[in-house]
Amino acid sequence: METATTANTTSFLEALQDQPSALSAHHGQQVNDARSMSALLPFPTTKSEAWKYTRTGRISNQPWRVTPAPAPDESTENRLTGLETSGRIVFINGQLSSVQLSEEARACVRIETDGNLPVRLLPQLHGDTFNEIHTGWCTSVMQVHIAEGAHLHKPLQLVHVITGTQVLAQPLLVITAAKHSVSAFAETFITAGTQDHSFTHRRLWLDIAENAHVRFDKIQSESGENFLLNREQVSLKRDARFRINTLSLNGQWIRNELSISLEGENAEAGLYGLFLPAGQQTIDNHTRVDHKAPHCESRELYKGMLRDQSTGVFNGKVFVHPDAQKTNAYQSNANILLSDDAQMYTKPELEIYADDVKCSHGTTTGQLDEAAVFYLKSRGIGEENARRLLTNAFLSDVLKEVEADALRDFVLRNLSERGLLYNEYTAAE
Amino acid sequence: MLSIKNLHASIEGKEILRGLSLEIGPGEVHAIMGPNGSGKSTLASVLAGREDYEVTDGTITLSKEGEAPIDLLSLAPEERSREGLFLAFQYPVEIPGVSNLNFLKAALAEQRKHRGLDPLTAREFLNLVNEKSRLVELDGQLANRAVNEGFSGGEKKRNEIFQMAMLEPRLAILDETDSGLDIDALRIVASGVNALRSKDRSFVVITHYQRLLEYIVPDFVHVLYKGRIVKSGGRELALELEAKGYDWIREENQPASV
Ligand SMILES: Nc1ncnc2c1ncn2[C@@H]1O[C@H](COP(=O)(O)OP(=O)(O)O)[C@@H](O)[C@H]1O
Ligand SMILES: [Mg+2]
Repeated sequence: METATTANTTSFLEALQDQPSALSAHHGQQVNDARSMSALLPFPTTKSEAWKYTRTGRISNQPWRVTPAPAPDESTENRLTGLETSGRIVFINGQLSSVQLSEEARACVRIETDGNLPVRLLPQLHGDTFNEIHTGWCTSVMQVHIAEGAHLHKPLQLVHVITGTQVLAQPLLVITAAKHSVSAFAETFITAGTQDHSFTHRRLWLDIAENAHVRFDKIQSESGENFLLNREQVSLKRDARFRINTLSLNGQWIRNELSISLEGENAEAGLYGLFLPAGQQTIDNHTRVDHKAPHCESRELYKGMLRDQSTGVFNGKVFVHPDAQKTNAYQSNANILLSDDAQMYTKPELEIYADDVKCSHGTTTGQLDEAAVFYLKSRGIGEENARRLLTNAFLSDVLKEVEADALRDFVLRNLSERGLLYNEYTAAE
Repeated sequence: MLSIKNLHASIEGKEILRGLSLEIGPGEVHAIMGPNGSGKSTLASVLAGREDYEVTDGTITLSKEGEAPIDLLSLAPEERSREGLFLAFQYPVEIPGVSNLNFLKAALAEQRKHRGLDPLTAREFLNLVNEKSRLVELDGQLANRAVNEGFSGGEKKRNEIFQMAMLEPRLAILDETDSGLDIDALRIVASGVNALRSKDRSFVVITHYQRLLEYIVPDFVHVLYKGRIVKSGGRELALELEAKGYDWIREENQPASV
């Protein structure tokens, strides 16, 4: 009998058969199930609504390998310097390489790396092909527990480094922020080697307990042939606060799937994003906010600036469940196409099942305002700088949400290198 | 100062300026009046270098004593500005996210670089801003807001004159800077302009109403009609136009019937 199985997963799975999963020791059954399911579930194609504009072919047809973590060297250095942190957790090729905590952090942060997940989380291991493959060949599991009442103002940096070719990196991060705690995270996906070739699927589960505050900054700046999938599930209990900035500066294929569930009264979430694809790059942001309790607020602002033949995708779902009265939900996506060949696909989806709510959403996609360019030039400002002033202005709404100077500087330097920034330096050229 | 000869310009294939000539000497104030759609803003835009317009014939030469004359049409808009040309827009553009001050700092830095000068220090710059914003009674708050964003009509026009004062051009073109202004705002704008009048600085004042010319007294008045200057005179021409309207100009310029 001809197998009806999915031709498109075969080459992906072939090279993986005998390779380990970091979940095997404690969750062997789930790993075996996931491996069986991986063989049966096809990779999503552009026929499915959720993947309409983002192709998976160049991921599915590659023989990826789980490689033992190479020893740290120049190529694996942390590239975000100058950031004052509460500690650094470094993953090389998806494998945990080092954990370093400040004294302050050691007192209130507990870390587990044995891959033993609480039973309540196990159902989340499964889902579509990407999740099954993740569970089947998970490369490391890291659980971070922030203690009740902890105050960790400097971010804990999560560093992801890739080196080598055909690397499959699939870390799982589980973060719990206990009641009344304050914590911050800065996660960086920065590669500089042009020869690197990898598929990273990083999953993150973040539970924010009553009255806890979490801030999360994510920088994605990938070189070479690196594919990056981030899946995040965040839940907020009563009075909890969450803020995430997703800064996608560079990367030939990036997809962020962020799902936030507001589960207790008076919880608030802010989702901000910046994406700047160029060349043939595709950057895709799928967000979902579930308002499940009354008196919660979500604010969402994503800004895209697209160059060359790049593609941008924004899909923002907001669900207001029947009990979520007095919800405030704001969503906005604004995009600028700097080239006629760039493509932006944007789709807000609001579903509201409560009647006493305030929701708004808006999307705009356009070119730089040429009347404004002319106005600036008519005052003596050169063409390039006029455009930079306008692109800066466009991006500033999101950039001002980034609190740590070192993070903002990294982003600004990156923008400057790509000719998107107006500053004293470029003015003096 | 500025010499325009036989200027023809079109937009989207439609000829708007049809052989316009005008000579402007140093320190002179020329008023240009004319019915709606006669090409006044087109002239201003072509002078400033707006790319949407195609110049099909004619020359524009900018000259200053002791310097080689400049072929204005060969310069980009920013280069024209650095050579001392300034256009106060009929409809100033709102630029959200760019602060008025950063914008002017950038403009001034590039202007000064062109003249081989270092940028002003922060203190020098702020002193200049204070001095010049007083000239047009522009609230200090406005300087900090985004360029023209949420400004009232009068504030936008005053902001144009403020920018002119900051950049100190040698030739300023004011395109209906008086339109929509109440009498107080008109006085402020006019006195700002008058304060900048000097023997080396020339003005082209485009207006619909001779009222402005009571405050900014011109040396010459021209009537622009169908893309050409059809009448020139002194100040009294403005009064005549006000009294008689533009119909007599239209009649005088009817193609002769066969
Ligand atoms: N973008 C355009 N495309 C076509 N025609 C235009 C455009 N802009 C202006 N015009 C035409 O050019 C003529 C002159 O306009 P304008 O210079 O603005 O006149 P004025 O300032 O004297 O009122 C008008 O007939 C107007 O309709
Ligand atoms: Mg006009």
